[in-house]
Amino acid sequence: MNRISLLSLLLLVSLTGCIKESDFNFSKSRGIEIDGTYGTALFNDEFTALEMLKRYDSLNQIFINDEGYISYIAGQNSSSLIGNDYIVLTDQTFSNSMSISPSVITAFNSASIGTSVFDSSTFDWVMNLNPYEIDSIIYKEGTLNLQLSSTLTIPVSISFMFESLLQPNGNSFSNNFTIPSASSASSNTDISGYKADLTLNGSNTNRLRVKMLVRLDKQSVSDNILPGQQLNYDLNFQNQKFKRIFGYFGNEPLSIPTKNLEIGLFELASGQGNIVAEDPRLNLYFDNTYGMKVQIQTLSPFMAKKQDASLIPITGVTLPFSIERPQNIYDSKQSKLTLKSPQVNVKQLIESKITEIIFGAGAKINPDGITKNFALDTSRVTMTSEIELPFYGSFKNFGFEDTSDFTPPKDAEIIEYAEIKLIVENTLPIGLNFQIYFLDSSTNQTVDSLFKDFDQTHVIPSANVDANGKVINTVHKTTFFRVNQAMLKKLNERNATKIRIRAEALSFNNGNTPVKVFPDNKIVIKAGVKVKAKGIIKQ
Amino acid sequence: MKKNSIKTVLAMITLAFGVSTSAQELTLHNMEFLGQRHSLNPALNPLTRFYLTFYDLGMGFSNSFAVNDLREFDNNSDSFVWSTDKFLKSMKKNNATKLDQLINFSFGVKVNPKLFIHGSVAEKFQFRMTYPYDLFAFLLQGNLNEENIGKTMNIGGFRVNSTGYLDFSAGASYQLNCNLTIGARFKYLKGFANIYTKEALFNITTNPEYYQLTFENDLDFRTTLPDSNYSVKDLFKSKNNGMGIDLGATYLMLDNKLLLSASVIDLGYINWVEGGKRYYNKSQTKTFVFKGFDESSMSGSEDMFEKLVDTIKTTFDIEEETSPKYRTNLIPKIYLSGSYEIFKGNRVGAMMYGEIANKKLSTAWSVNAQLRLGRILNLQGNVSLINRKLGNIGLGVAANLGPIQWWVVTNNAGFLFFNPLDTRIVHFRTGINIALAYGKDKKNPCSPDYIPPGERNKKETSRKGRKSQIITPVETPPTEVPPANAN
Repeated sequence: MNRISLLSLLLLVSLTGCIKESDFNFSKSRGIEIDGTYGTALFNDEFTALEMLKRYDSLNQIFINDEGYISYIAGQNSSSLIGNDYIVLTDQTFSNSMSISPSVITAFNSASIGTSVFDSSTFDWVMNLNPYEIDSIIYKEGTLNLQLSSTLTIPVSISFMFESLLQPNGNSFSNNFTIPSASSASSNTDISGYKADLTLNGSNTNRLRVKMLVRLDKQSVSDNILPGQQLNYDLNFQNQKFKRIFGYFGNEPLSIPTKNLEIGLFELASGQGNIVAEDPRLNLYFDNTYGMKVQIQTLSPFMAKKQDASLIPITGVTLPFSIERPQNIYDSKQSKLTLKSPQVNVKQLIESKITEIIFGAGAKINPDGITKNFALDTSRVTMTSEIELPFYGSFKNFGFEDTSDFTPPKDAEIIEYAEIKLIVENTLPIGLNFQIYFLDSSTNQTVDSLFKDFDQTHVIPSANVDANGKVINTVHKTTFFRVNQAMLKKLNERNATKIRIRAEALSFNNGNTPVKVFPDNKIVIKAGVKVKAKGIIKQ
Repeated sequence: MKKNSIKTVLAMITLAFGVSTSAQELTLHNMEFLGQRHSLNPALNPLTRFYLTFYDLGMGFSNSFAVNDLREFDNNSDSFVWSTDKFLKSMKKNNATKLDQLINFSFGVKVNPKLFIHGSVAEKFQFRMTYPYDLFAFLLQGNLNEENIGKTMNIGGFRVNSTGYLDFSAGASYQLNCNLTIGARFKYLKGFANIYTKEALFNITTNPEYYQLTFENDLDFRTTLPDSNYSVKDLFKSKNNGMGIDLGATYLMLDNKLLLSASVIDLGYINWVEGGKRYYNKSQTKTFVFKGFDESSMSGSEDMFEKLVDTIKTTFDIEEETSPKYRTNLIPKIYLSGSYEIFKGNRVGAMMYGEIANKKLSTAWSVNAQLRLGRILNLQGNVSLINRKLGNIGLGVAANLGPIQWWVVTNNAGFLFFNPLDTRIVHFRTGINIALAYGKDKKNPCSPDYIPPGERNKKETSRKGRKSQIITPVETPPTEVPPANAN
């Protein structure tokens, strides 16, 4: 009995389960139930003000100024003629003839065979260099050409000696000729590196002394000189270029040609936005390597071009402006003329978002009268026009707006919402407003917008500044961009297939308070995406 | 590497499904007719004095969730959905899939009243894979789910430890006294396949700030796999040798009605010295934090995702090393049981099974009732808690048909007879033994059938006169039972 009871118990326990046939019918599945929230970081980077500006600074125009904040500096050079092109040494010619003196003729005709008789002549070669009064020249290049012709019926030896024309080795230059009876001769001497002293060792200018020595050799009884026989000669300096030149070079006009200074700073804000610049400057730098004083008498042209290509004259500049001379050869002398508001209309130029400054100048040398100068072959006056725009001011309405096609996702019921989380940490005194509008494709009417609240559109708020315009805090803002099913449904129903993206940059306090942008002002942007999937994925 | 890994796992699973049985022999352990008990506790002797396995085969699988753990039914619409929520609720922090294969040839001889020697040659295959809740939570709930955000989720905590080996065992049980019997089996092992996961870390943490993802990876696993066309002969040539031991004891008390049994089996190791490969993360930096793309990565000619993939590849660079030498332990198992004889040949009891795999102890519990009908039939029923699921109905039957012993056991008959979609375990094992020499243990002074030597001849003479006498169990113990400490 006990065994049977135990066996029965075992069977009873074993039969406690039951099988439902429907359990095996997997076609009754409605699908896979999903309820998950997924996400990942998307973006993380920080941008300092200097780094951002340098990114667009291919011309190296962004600097940190003496006060530690950022300045935009753009410059352009224009140079006058160089020394050899401005001080032109014209070709010089000296023609003359020498008759053998009667006493020399008598002595020669009566001399025994084998005897030599001498004659000589000294003269000053006065050069026609007006208005220059040249003391000395060190030649870079040039030629000294000597031509001789003789009517004497005997051979003759002639030497020309230029005592104050020194060769590169320091010796005076001389040139010897032997001319057969009644014939001619010539020579060309490269005078590169020669030094000519044109003062006759005194206070003269433009003069070179030449000594001419004639030797007559009695070779036969029939060698005789007849009265009237002479020697003719031509001396020429040709193609003279100096390496250095000393003297007085007149007060002829010296022009600085027209150049354009391009300003790319406002390219990103073409046509929009208001700027108030607090301390812009236009600097004119002059670099003088002529050894003479230069006076800027006119700035012409001197104007700015706006984005619409119209021109604004730059006014209020006080002229003339004198440029001093360097005291020593090879030195240069710099002068600076700073043009600021309110005397000069520089603020107006910046606030007009100009794209170019067009400049040139007219000058004259030696405005104080005759003074001794020097010049090198490379001497010049260089004018640099420089716009300096410290990042100190305010701006607003720098906007960006674009409309493009958009296809709202369909068949995405499983996605309950998608959301981007944007975290901003900003120490820039600049903010950004952002909004996306969804438009009806046929009427362009706004169907919906990404942000329902105006406050939400301040995606990047500006940091606060003190009375000096310096940032005093870091501002944090977290923004969620969420698109949910209801919104997608609405967009699909209303046929919203266009989006208009609008962004506006502005400085602190809606662009009404001047701010300074320091190089370490930065913005940190972090973004992540979250997607909530909920529903049943049908099989 | 990845393809090889997948192939490896598939190969192991395929191999394991060929002929397999769950290691948790909650039913077999208490089948008194069967010599296979020696493999679970070397001190736990069968009633027969000789047995030889003719065949011993079965199938077993256990998992942490059942098919119906994935489904939510709606009676109104007579339909269901695959419910991620229900599925996750059915899981714990760590979950496991287990497969065991055994082809066993065993024998045993009781050489004298106290000593039973036994041995076996077996091909064993053990597959253990733990997989983390976090992986499914990550996939199904998402990394930004309230429970998961900010939490380090070990989504790669797959630990696969699987070993195939030949087990040559020889052991004995010895009755120390009328209460205590001890047993041991020594094993010589030849390994032919192994996957050993030393480290499997793939953590992902999502920072709530803006969902930055921190990945940590540390991977180190080794494999030793046979060629696809290996033969049995090759198994014996393996140089991957090892040693092992099983230890067990039984204790009788309360007038021999209460039997306590304890065993620790598969204590051992295999040295893998040939045919191995190691895959590991050689990168010094095993952590990668994805904070989002920066501006520089979004510009330039190279795609930013390609850059990201390159960075991850560098961080988690998996290196392959050939011919590593390493040692793996067998999966130790513990059986603790107690049964009470409520009347002759009929017992009720309880049992605890435990195994330590992948550094985790997993247990199963059962209560059982056994019914023995003479020498012919041995029945058992049990109810067990396996894989955190209660109500697994285990059944066992052993029938002696002359010297032929047929038997079948299962830990979960529900899979066969009730709803397999609710089951987390599949277990079935059957075999045929040649089993001889049942009957009274007249020479053992501890046995209730004991007959002192002086009287044994009289009884023998008397028995020869009654050829067809049916031996029935003696209800009362003999009066001359020696004291418990007598040996």
